Amino acid sequence: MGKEQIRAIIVDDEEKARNMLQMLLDEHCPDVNVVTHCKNVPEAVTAINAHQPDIVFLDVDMPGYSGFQLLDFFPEVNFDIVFTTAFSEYALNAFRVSALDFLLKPIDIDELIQAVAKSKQKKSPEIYNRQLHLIRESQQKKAPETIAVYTIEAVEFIRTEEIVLLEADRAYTKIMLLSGNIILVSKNIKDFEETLSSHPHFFRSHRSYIINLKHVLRYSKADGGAIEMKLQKEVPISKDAKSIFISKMESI
Amino acid sequence: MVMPNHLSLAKGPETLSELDTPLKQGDYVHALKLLTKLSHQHIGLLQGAIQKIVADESMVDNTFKLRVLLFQSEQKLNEQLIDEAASIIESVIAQSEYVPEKTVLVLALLQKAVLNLYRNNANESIQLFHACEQMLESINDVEVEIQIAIYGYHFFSESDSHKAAEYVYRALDLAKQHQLVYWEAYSLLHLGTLNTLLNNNAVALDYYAESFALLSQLQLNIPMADNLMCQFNIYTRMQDYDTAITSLEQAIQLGQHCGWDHKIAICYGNISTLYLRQSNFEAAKIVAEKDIALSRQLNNAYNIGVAMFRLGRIEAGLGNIAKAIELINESISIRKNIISNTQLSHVYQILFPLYAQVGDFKSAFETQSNFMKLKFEIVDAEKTKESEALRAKYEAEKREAELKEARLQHTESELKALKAQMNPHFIFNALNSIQEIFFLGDKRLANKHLSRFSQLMRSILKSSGKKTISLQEELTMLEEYLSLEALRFGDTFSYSITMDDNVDPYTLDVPPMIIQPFVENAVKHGLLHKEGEQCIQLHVKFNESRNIIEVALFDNGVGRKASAEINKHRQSHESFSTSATQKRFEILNQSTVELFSFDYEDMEDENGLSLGTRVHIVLPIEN
Repeated sequence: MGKEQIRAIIVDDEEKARNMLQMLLDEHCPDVNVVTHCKNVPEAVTAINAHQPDIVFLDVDMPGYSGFQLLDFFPEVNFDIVFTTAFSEYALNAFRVSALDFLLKPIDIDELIQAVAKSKQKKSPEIYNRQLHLIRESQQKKAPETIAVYTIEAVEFIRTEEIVLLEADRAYTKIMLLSGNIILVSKNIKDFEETLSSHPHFFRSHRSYIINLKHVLRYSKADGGAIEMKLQKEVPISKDAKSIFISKMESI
Repeated sequence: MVMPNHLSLAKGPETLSELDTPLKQGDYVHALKLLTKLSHQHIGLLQGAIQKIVADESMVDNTFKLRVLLFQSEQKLNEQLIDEAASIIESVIAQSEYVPEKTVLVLALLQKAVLNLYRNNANESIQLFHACEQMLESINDVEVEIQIAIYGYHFFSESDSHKAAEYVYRALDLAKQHQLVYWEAYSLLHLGTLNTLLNNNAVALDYYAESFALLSQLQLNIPMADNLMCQFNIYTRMQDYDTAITSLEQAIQLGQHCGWDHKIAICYGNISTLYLRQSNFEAAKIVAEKDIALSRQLNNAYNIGVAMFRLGRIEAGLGNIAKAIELINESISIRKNIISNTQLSHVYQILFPLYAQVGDFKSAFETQSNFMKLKFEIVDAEKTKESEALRAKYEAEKREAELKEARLQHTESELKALKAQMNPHFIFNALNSIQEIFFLGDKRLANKHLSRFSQLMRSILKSSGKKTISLQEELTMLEEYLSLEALRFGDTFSYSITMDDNVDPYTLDVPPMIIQPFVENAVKHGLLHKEGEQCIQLHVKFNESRNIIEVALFDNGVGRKASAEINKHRQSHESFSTSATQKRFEILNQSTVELFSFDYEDMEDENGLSLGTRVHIVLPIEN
């Protein structure tokens, strides 16, 4: 008693998965009170309206309606969603673009405890809903128009067309914007290459750089080749990237 | 129906009488100019003039009549009367075949393109657009060229803002070059809408203001009113509701008594919504009622329905729930057959809690079920659209892939096959190691290693289709693999993965699973039969001048000789992963300058006893 109970709903099409998660929660997250299980999105919509939960553990890969489609029923989400997924590239991409956390199945106990702890922290509903909106968008559009990234201070939303280039800095990446601002993000360049892989304007010109082809000023062949970007930034181009770069520039 | 003109700005009536002279003299160029002006000042009078001209049988110039009809279809498009516009446009296109001068055909086709945009037929629309662009060369008319450019803007505005911007700038340049002030204002307006789409609020407002100034010089009240409606959008977005409302009120003033009433109704609706948003229900109600009255006058069932729905929400805000329910239900029945599922679901969403509030739980439940049913239909429809898009994308990618060089394809598929051959080895060895923990009965530990194992599987699956992954990913896989092996061997087993300072594992790429077979060999053939301490050391160097990664892998196992001796009774056992690796290196070497290579070093003490095995692996990297 005294401790605030967290009301949770588990949504998963597989009964074993629902029971497993319930067991893990009962044993390792005693302050979570699972109020009901749902096996699909329609059930979940009704249950959420009826129970007004604090957390919804939501499987992404379900037959019929995917977990992401639950979002269509709640223009404003006022509960926390902990997404779970086994292995689906399209879901992972949605999480990359929106910078939202998720649990991989089979579920790691430490990650589960962390996810519950994280959802207890106060967060801005506006920012959270914007991130969820990016998930919705990533399901509809091929190329992300906006991506969310974690900086040291906060979640930032960046319009992809404002990005001039991304530069690797070990496990970090520096994002240079048209405004001249530079944002340091604790995600490595490979992660960004994947996040932006569906975007026709972004191109890994060199192992340390991803550039926005829309902001290329000129290309000089001297000294093994270099690309001059807006903001007077010059980036190298790798040997193998040259022919791809030229054909991409022609096609946009 | 001729409407009185109260606003000093609207110069309509004078223009109408001005029209008589050129019509009598057959100066149709001038007449068209006046009609254009009329369309910007007084739509009611324009419609009167159009009817008069079309009915006048003494007028013989068919081209002029067709141009006049296009004014009519344009008005219909503006009022969103799509089907009516379509039938006029089709008849103009059919008749323009007999007209030698092609301007009228181009303009009609362009309107048809716009119409197809409204109907979401993007493909047909863009084809019509290209047809117009081609015909442009033969007619040489700047104003038509500008209109085509503006269409280009509309087509690309949502998908490709850079392309859209190019089109608007082309329109703007042409307008400035030929001093066509109206078109300059029109282009500026679209620069405003483009920036609105891009969320550049301040920039958009600047363009709108610039456009507005030009329009007021020309005294064109209708485009001015349209311009103010655009400004309203920005102010609303900036949550400056007072200025937003003022913009709309000014628009209403400019658009009064000149046939702009359908837009005035929309302005009332928007003002009402803004008050509603601020919970100023009294003010919202007054304006909403004006909206309903005007929409009734215009006999626009759709708008009446929208307005009633809004009034219903306002009444709900005022606490008159029963009244609200009545209005909202009426708003549904009045829009029967013309309300979209999306809108209807929104109406139901508002309605069902109201029923609950007055205790009518049966209706509340029914409405909620209706809402859910609709919502699923909508989501299903979206899903179908999505999967079609996905299929189109898939087919496009497939075609692209087919264009790739056959040789490269061959090489890569061979590589893939080899990797697939290696993976099962890796997988089952790891599974072997993990099996034991289940029997230890430590749930927490079992969970930890199961997570590690699934993480490893994910990495393998993810990398299997790829040509390269980052060195970081490769090393992480090895770390996961070794940590599972450590479990199997117990306390006597240790491993380390280290690298020089100049190695940045996040930016250096290597072929996936290129180091793993060597590590697997070291474990299987070196350490498995080793008594006492077993250790594996992996160290990575980056030779910048040669652009190669050098991996040194050491194990203190029994050595290759002893291992061969141990395994000699097992037919062709050792050969598998080594020969697969050998083959893979050969294939990789077909496409690089520096060579992928590896060589073994058997380390022995002076008595010929094994101290372990060291393997040097050279991995060239792409620049």
